Amino acid sequence: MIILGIDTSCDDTCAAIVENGNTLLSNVISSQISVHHRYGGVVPEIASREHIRNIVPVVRESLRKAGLNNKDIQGIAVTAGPGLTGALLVGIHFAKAYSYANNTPLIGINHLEGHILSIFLEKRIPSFPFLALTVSGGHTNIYHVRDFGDYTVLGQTLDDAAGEAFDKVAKLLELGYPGGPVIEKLAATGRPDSIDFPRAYLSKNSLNFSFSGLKTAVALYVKKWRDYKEEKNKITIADIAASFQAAVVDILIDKVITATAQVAVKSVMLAGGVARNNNLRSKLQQATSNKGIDLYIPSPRLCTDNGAMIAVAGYHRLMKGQQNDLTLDARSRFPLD
Amino acid sequence: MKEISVKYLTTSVEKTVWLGQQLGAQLISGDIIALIGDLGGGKTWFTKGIAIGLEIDPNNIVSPTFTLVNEYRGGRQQIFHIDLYRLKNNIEILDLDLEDYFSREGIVVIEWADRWPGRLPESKIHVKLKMIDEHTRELEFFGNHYRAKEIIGALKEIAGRNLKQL
Repeated sequence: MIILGIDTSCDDTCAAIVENGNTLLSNVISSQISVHHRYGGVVPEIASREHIRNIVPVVRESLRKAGLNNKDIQGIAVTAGPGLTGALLVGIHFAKAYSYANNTPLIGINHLEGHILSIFLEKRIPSFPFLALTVSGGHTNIYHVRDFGDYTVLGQTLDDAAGEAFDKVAKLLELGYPGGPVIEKLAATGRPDSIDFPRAYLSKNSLNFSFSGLKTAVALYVKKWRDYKEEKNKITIADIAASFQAAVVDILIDKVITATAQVAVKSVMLAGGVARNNNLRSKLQQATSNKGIDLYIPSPRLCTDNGAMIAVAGYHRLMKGQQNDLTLDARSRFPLD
Repeated sequence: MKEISVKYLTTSVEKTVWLGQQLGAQLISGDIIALIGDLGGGKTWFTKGIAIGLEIDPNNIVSPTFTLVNEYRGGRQQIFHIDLYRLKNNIEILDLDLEDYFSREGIVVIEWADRWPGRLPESKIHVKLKMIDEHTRELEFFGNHYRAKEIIGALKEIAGRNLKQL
């Protein structure tokens, strides 16, 4: 079964084609092709208007790369939430029109389910049940995944997402946007133990996250660091980046390990944009293998937002006989369980 | 109309949330809260307080920086929690269609409201959060609309008396 998957929940317009929920035939993301050049002008970061411009060329490109026509597509899956309503609606309306015009079954997908199932596009896949940690600019969640379509959220952030903390600390350090890659690069040359930033673990058994206190601590420290010459001589900007990153990684790992004990799973998967952080990947690898737990991480291009993961989720739902009609609507808040 | 204002010092997150709750309890549909303050000022946690005051589960309230708008329902009034932090130009602010939220049933809370002062209606109530040290914040409430006068007046009655005893 060949599924076209579409995601317009955030900045990028994404379309991909996946066969049988595990074989990637094409994966197109607006920022990677020359849509910008073809249409001219600067692409506003958030604009649903930009999704409108991108969606048709991106889908065409996904078909062309897969060497397929519309008649080959047996289902269309689209992110219905969570995300910004205006942006989501572009993908949803496109998918509805596509479904209507080609008589293709339509299914609305939760973006986070897509992230969790992105691992099934890899050769090495976990068996159920497993834990999923989804970390990005907008989400920090731990899920207990019992089967396709069977998820329980065990923990989530109470304030900022982990990726957002990276972005905001990068802003404090005047490093630019997005913050994740630039902080990771800088941190590689810094000492992670030079500043002891607070790790907010909340209560011992809680699997929720809080990153706003860490962000505040970095903001206060940077203020002091800028004002005092002695501090500046001792501590470099790379040290600050490394110490901050170490705190985020510690918090994420602590909660994942706590969660594996609470629900007794043998496998953990990591997804979302922050899953591209090599420090997190290697530290989590270490922590899980110490506990005899297998870790699964999708390749970097499948960690960030993409249409392929939506197609995988769509495949499993359509196979179960689920389908949406043309009343499908955007859900800006969309709990997965 | 003359501007009305009041300032409070809070020495913990709990007290900041409590102040938010007192504000939230005063709010009616159409009210607009404009939050101003540095990174780490406590804007999102203050908004959790507003939610409690509106009988919404504060655990649902998270930073809207990424999504730009979070909508919370299930309380006395729904909240549109908007963040202008990422918006860089007029096209982006137009895409967000702020005016639409101002005319809807519910309360609008805007983080980083000082980024686009000209885009906000007159009736807004400003809350400026200033970081004094790790735990201490100075919260200044001000506005010159009659709703600001009513709300800040009510807040003075409650908060002045009780904040110190927390």
